[in-house]
Amino acid sequence: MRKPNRIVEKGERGLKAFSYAVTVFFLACGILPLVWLLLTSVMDNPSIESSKPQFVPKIPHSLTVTVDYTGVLSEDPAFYKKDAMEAIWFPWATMSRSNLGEIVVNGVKDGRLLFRAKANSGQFFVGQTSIVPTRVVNNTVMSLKIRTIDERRLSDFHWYGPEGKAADGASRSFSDHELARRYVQFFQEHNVLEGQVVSVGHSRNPLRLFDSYVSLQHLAFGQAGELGFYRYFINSAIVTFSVIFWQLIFAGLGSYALSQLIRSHRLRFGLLMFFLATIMIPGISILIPQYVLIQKLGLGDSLWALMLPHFAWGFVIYLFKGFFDQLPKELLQAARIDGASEFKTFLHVVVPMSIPVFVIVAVMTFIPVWNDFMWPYIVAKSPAHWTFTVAMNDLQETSARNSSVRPNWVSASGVISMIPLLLLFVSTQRFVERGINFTGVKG
Amino acid sequence: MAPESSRSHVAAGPERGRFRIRWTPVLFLLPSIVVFIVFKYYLICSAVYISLHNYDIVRPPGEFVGLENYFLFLKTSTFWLALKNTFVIFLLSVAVTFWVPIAQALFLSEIGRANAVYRVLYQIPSILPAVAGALLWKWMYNPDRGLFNYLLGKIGLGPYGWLNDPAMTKFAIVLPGFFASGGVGVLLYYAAIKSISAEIFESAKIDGCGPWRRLIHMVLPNIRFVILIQFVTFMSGALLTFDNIFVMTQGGPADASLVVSLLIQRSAFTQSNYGMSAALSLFMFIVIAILTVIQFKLQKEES
Repeated sequence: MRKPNRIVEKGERGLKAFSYAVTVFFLACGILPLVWLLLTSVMDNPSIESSKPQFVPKIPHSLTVTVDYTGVLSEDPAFYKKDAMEAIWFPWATMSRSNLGEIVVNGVKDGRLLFRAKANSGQFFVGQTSIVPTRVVNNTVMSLKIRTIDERRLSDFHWYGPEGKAADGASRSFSDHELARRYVQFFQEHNVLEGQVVSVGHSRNPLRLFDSYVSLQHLAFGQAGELGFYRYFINSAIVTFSVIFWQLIFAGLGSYALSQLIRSHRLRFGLLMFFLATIMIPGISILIPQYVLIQKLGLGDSLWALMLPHFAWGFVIYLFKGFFDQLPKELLQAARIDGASEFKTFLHVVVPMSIPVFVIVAVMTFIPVWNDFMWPYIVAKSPAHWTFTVAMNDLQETSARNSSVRPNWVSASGVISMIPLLLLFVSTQRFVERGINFTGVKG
Repeated sequence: MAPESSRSHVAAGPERGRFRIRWTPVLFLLPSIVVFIVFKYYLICSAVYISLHNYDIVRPPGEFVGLENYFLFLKTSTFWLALKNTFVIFLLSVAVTFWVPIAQALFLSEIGRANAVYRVLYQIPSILPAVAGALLWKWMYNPDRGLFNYLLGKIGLGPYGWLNDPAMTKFAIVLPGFFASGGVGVLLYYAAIKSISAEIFESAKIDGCGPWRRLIHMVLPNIRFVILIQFVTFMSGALLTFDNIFVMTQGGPADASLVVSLLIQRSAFTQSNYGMSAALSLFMFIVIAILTVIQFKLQKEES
């Protein structure tokens, strides 16, 4: 039924339908790659390794092993720790192609829980090349590796002691899942453990799908120190927020002075040109002198080197000035007559009226600084000063060189890298839409 | 901030004989002026200076060679190859990417219902940092285990070499832009379209101008200033593109995707030829400046 007052033109329906089709198509184009990224980041190991891409992750297996030490005299935790690591790492190395997500080893003695040791696939695959590169199985090998395991936290070991809690359920059973059988068989063939494997339970642990995220962390412990992968994010955040801080305060004050405080027209125009002309200079054209200057200042390989060049941005001055030009002069005059200093006027009168432009500047600063890659890549030499873009590129390069870095870790790093920008967009969308109107790019 | 403010007496403020110097604006402007002088004006002069030397970073400035660096790179075939690649990639990305946000905004403006939702959804691809995007696509392009060859294989196409195939690598570098070209561009165009006065449309309707023709003959010309501005930004971005090419191919295979910005980085930081690198980067600066001026001239003549 047609609405009585409205004439539907010829072609209008067709256009509308076409518009919907185009919009849905482009939205799918934009979003599907991200879905693939998300999906591969939680993909189980055999699926990511397989020659055909897999679309549904399979839930990883979890083995819970009980080792009985009744009759073993030693009370030294280090002694048991080595044994626990052997119980985890040696058999896992033979099963590395299976979808094993975690091995938990419970050490018991006289019905008491002596220790509990754990490693998940995130930890295992990071350590595989350094802890169990070969199939040599003996005590000497493991004693040499304990330090690496500790340094990069490749396994958890909790010592309860001989007076520890009672071992729960002394079920001396062996699951007949294939992995459990292979586990038992391994220790029948290799007699390295001091204790006796008395039970192997099998379950599935969906949490272990997220082990690629865990891997990133353990991978970075060896490179960037204590904070692991967070280090890179903190670096990126420090740089980004320092630049935003500078732009909001100093570019804001400068543009305000330019817009409202300078009375000479010629001077104002000259200064405006001084700032805006720099928009023409592409970053790469001053890359070399910038590098030389940073080295000269002795700031090479520090976070200062990453932020300083971003302080001079003509575009931000342009945005601020465009907004401040429209401020009602009477209001500013009134504040001055009341005896407020220029700084107080700025803080108490101008800033509250200009929240939208401050948000826009923050967003417009955040995105390019957060995503910046070439400059940090060139200037930040040591991993402790890497931003996450540099870290991601390193991850990818290692992954291309050898298989020690797996594709699902790279995907996981991609997913993590989206989170800050996602939060930014969700929280500022309203302002960005409004802000488009005063960026001056409108026709 | 402290070192800048202590210098306030040296810097020339808005000092004119007949004016009393007002220190507040000077103080407000000083930090910005200092960083702009140091990080823009000093650096661009320094770039010229470095480009005239066989620059030695350990014992600067090294031997003065005049314009030799410029003549030198103009003589290498690598430079011409890189320049050609740069422009091919630029033209390809115009063909594949540039028009996409315009089309998105055009058709979005025809949708009345839940419009804001679509605009938000269009922003989603831009939350993925360029480096992460390059990683993702490199993995999807993998000739043996990648998603694309698998999916195309299902419908009987391929397998393609994508980034590993010199004939295809430029296209493969540009293609992700088609998928993720939404972002702020859509919002800009959309705002421009919405600001066209409704009266124009009403009168066109009365004159019997159909909706399709209206879109092409009325909306597009009315937003051409925004398109021009976006094109200028797009052009310098595309001509200097670095991140995605560096992550995806590093210029390979067989220099098929070697662009000038990669050459600049390579000659400075792997060959330590800073003078040459600075000369190259100034060359690109001039090329882009000339192209920009030409575009604004053309626009002026037209209107």
